[in-house]
Amino acid sequence: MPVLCPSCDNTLRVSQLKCDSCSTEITGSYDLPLFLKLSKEEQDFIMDFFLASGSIKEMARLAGNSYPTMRNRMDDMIGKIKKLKTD
Amino acid sequence: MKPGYFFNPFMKFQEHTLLITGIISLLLASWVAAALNIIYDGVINIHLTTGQNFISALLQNIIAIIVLFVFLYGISLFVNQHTRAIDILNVALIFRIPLYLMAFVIPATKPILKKLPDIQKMEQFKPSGPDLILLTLIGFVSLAVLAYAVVLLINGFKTATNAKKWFHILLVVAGLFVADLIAKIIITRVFL
Repeated sequence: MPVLCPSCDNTLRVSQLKCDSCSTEITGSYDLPLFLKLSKEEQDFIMDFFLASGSIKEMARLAGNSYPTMRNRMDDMIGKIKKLKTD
Repeated sequence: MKPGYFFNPFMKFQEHTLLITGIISLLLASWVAAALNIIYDGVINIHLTTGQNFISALLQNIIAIIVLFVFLYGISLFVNQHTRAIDILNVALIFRIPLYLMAFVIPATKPILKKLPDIQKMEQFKPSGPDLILLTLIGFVSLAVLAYAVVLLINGFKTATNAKKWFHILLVVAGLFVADLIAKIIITRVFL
């Protein structure tokens, strides 16, 4: 799902939701959940972290990278999420 | 192995692999230094000597590694408090591997150094063509090896600490030179 405007790079908002069963449509201006504001790779990373029982070491082993490489990626994402939360 | 890992093996290899590689290379380098009469009298210093033995070479290398580790770890805690000591120790160990290989190059200067007159008559010294080529070649190889070692050091530090600012890299380079000076003073006082 695109999260950034392809024209100006600003964060996109949800303006329409639709029920596939009864075709009810809701129109408005809703903020995207924080998780969805992340890129696909970042979302996958968080999912992998969850599935590895929160072990960066295990994630590093599965990805074939060193522990500091994986932890740095995690630190960068924490920084990005904190920034998204304050914006 | 991807080309990027040649300049930053710390991204790829686990800490125990790097630690074992570093310790084995330290032992091998000390043995080679004893066999070829080489002294590592500083963090980035390597010279010819006489009467070298395995234990002295090993202790000289260990002093250089410990001094560098202390400086790098101090800087790393300033950059990122979550930095692990093992990652910095691995940087201090692995960064020296290219310098250890210089032990096979430095003895080639021995025949030329023997021809050098004392310092007052230096202007009369005219090295032959082949000697000049050899000295120039050794100079280039030494510079390339030192540059590669520094790249390993900086990349290793960046991986261990997640450092991104130029200021942090400048601190590492400054730390390297200060550590080299201190290690040189200690090794000279203890062994020479």
